[in-house]
Amino acid sequence: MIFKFDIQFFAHKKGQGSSTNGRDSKPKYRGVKVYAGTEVPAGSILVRQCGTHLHPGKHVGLGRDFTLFALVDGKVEYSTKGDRKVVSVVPAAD
Amino acid sequence: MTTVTLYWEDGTLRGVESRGHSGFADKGKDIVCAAVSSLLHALLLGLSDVAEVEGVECEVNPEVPLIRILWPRSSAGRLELLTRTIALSLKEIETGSPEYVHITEVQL
Repeated sequence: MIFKFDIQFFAHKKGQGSSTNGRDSKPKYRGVKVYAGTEVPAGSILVRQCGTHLHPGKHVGLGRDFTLFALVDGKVEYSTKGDRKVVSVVPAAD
Repeated sequence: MTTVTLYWEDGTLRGVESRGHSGFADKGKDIVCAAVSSLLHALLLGLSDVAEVEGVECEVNPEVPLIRILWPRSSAGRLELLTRTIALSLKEIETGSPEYVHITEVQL
């Protein structure tokens, strides 16, 4: 046979497909910033979150963007109260 | 648009050339291209493997794309049954898909 038969010899190559994906929002870097048992100074940010996944416990403040932060120097403690997860700070012994 | 050229000499078909994408659809779905390609391939098979004609010239260029088939004057007469059938079939494709196939006829 003189040449290899191609039934699509006179067809355009397949057009390069395009996707409508490829967009994403800016990262928010949320999550737990300090883990249990860590000594923190007052004012340290403990958790960044959207809504109160974790609730503030003793000596922990709740910011307007739901950030949890330490109100006193001490050790971080995570616990649950009912079905809520709670973050507390155990003050350092003076 | 695929352009098909039929080469005639003294009322006998001496060659066929087909050039260009048909543009009907992408590769794999282009039925017009499939029809033209099949006829040209059938013609070439008939000439080389069935009639075993000596001196068939065949140029194939996938880049263009182009297929040109010419056969010697000496055997043109006895090949009329095959070559005219192919030519008529190509004309029917042009009739059915004028936006994708155009046939011109040239006297050698």
